[in-house]
Amino acid sequence: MKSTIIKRIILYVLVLVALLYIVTPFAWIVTVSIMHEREANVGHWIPREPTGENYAMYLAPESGGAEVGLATARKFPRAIANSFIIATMVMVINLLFGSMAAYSLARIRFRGSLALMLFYLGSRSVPGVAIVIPMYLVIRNYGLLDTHLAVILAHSTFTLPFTIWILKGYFQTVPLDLERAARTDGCGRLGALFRIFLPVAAPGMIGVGIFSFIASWTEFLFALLFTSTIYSKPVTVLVSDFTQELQMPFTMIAAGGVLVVLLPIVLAFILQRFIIHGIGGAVTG
Amino acid sequence: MARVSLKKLTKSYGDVVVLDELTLEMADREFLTLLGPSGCGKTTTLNIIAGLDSATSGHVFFDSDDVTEVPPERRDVAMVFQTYALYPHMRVVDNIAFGLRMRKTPRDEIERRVREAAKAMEISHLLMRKPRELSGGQRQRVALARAIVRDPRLFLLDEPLSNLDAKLRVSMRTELKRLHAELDKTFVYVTHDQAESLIMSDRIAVLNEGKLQQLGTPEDIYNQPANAFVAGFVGSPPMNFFDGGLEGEERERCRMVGRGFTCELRPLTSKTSAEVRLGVRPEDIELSPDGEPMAQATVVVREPLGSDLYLTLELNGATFKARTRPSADFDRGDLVPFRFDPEKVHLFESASGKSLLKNIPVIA
Amino acid sequence: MIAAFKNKHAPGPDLSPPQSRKDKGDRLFALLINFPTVGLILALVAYPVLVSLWISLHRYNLRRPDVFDFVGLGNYVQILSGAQFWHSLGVTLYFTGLSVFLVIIIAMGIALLFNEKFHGRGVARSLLLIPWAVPGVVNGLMWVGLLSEHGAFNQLLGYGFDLFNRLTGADVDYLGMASPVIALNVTVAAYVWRSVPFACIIFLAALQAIPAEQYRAARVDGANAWNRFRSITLPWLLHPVMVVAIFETMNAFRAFDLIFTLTGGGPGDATNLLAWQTYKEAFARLNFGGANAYSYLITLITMGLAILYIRALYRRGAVQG
Repeated sequence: MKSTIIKRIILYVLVLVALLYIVTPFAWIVTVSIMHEREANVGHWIPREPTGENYAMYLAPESGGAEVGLATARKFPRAIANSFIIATMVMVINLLFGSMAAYSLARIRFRGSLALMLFYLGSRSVPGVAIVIPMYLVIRNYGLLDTHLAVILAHSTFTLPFTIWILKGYFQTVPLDLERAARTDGCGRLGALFRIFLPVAAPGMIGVGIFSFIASWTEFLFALLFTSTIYSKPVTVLVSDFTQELQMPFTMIAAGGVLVVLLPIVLAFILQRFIIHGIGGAVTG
Repeated sequence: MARVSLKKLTKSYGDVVVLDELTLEMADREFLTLLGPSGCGKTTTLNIIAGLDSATSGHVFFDSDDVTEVPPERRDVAMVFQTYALYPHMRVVDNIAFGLRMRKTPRDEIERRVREAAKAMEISHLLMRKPRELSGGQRQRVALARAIVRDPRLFLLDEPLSNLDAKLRVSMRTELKRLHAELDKTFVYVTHDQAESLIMSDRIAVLNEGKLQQLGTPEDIYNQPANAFVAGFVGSPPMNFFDGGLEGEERERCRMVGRGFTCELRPLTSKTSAEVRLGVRPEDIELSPDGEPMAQATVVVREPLGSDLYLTLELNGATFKARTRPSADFDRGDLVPFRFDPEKVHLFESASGKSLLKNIPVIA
Repeated sequence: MIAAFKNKHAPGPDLSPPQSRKDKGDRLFALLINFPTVGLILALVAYPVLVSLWISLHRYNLRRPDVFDFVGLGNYVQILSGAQFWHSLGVTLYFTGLSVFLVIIIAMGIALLFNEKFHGRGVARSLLLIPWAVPGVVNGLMWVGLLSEHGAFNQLLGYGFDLFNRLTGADVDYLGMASPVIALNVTVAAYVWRSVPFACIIFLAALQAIPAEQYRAARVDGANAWNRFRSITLPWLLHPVMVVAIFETMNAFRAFDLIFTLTGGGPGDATNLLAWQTYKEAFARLNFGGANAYSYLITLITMGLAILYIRALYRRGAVQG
């Protein structure tokens, strides 16, 4: 049927357009990152002489040719490590405390549950900018400036409410009868939670874990203000330092950007199914 | 040994009263059904017996032990859920073995008992599958296997057949009855399907709005309903009701006066001057009677059902159903004389629903 | 329909007093496991918010840390009477309004597309997450590059420039960030690009929840594609659209990372969003008193918006407890 074929063609064209919109800006950065500076300045799309020298600058700084931006590039591995430590801890905190809170809100009827939920959601309505200044003073008073802990705690405060909200919705889709069956079978409350409920709720938890990891990895404001030296500086802050390095060739900046984005993208790729399942289930449920 | 008794169980959520001082004594090893419409409190009662819900007040006894405060995992009951509640991340064999593992049963005994239970429920070939690969009927058998493998003192079943297709439901009823006889344990069964309860139970407890309406054998419930609710709920097609008044001075010789007919009655248990309701089951209506008919009604609908013929009749604006032989020669529009046998009618006070007639003997 | 089924299994919050020892025990258990989270938020959010209010009522500049005079609403008056705040507010409102609108439209379009069956749909959905994984700061740098003289954007528009020049006799070489109008709109574009995936995921999940029978029933009833979209798809999406609208509004209002690397507030004042202005007050001028006042103003505005949205949601009866 001709109209169906035409419809299919239009569909594929539109999908292509959408994909171009989504992918092109970043794809271009990737291609630039493997070009020499001279090529990029001419405006080529496809590198005729692809090179890994921009990446080499970050991963093995001494071998690279350019001196500009060397200092910043050398700090890169450490910054990645910092980001990784912070994001992982934030993910762990979210999974542990967030799921506990969400479980209590989803499964237990108790007075104050509504108030708690509003408290969590309300804390999110305070914009980061409003919070960060006084938080800065509090952190400074405790001598926690320039530590991983400060950033971890700060990130947790704004990821936990979202995690709890999502997980609460997701947990409510787990049939109550499963835990009931487990309890008549002989588990206590805690046993039913760990042996039956958590395994069944695993997909949602994974989605939320990934989400909080990425949220922490890509966060900038708190990381910027609470860290000063490379001891704890995560990679988002380091990248922003590039704007100060006016002489840094864009190809190198591009390579840095790609490295920063690589880890979350790889993670998101692998687990995209869990993300859509977990977050979506809560919003519609 | 498990004689379950409920003493004045009350359950309320704020202002909403779900169970109202429910008191019930079950016999050991009997098959007792909690029957009633949705929202009558039967599932809540079952959950309280299991320990999954707590009562607002009242007590639950297993034999002479007060188990009201005992958590479900220590009550030694097995429960089969309407949704089967199979653990989706475990294989069938692990689902069945779960309860035994929780009770730290030795490995070889677990293996033996699981194999026996699987054989009894004819699911031995499904042991390695996951629940999502099974059909509804198969999942149900797994749920049953999971219950029987534990050899508990009490079985609780919450509408386990509701999600099965009609044919499967019928065959499973027989199986459950057989299971009960073989296991020789107490079964507490919840359903809203009155036919099911009549077929399967030793005794039925009819519940409505959190209150016990009647407790008795299926015969009692069917033939000697204590009130209008029970009379109308049990029986399919349902009992016909006619509104009217009482005539007569003495309790022993009253008549019920309806719209367009009068019916002689057996001796009443109590007299009332209020409105009354006469109840007649379709099979107790005589069409074209040998004796004097009460009135004539018009045939409105014919429903041939193979072994029976149901006629919907109309008299002065009221419609009622009568059962007769398929060979009966009545057509739509025909005027049919009919009669109610005074020995078989039921009479209820309209306001309270209470039955006003003495118990009638069961016709052999 | 699905919601009704779910409520059968999920107990909602029961606000009646505890019925028995068991219920009281449950309540204690629930409060206990919420304790760490509540504690953290109290310490690092609630407390700083109160401290912030306190400081905003004082004159406090880090250049002269011993000065801490109570000035009441002095800071607020100063801010609200200056042109700086209102300009920032205007820019922010434009930015937020346009961004939220575009995000919803584009994400909805993509979600509808990706909801259809086609080869490589899984891959497409994975690619969808790329912009989301790009941190705001990297996003900013990226768009700086895209709009540089030899950046992709201008390359693509190369031919357009020639045409434009010939038509208008102008001499435009490339669209750079030097123009305030362009800078602001590019900021919107960059922000929208990054925000689309999240909204898209929410819409996709909602679309997948629509039971297929509804469409089949509609087709039997004789509805064409447009009718089906209007009477089945759109109402179903109303709730997710509101959720996305709330989220994106609150997020856009706070946009900061992007500004840091993309425009630094410029050129001039063109992209001086409220959050950026606050940052400048605090860390460039070290005027902590004033910065905190700015923060509070922003908070009030975002809270006001949130309340408006939530009331709209409640009226639709779509919020679950």
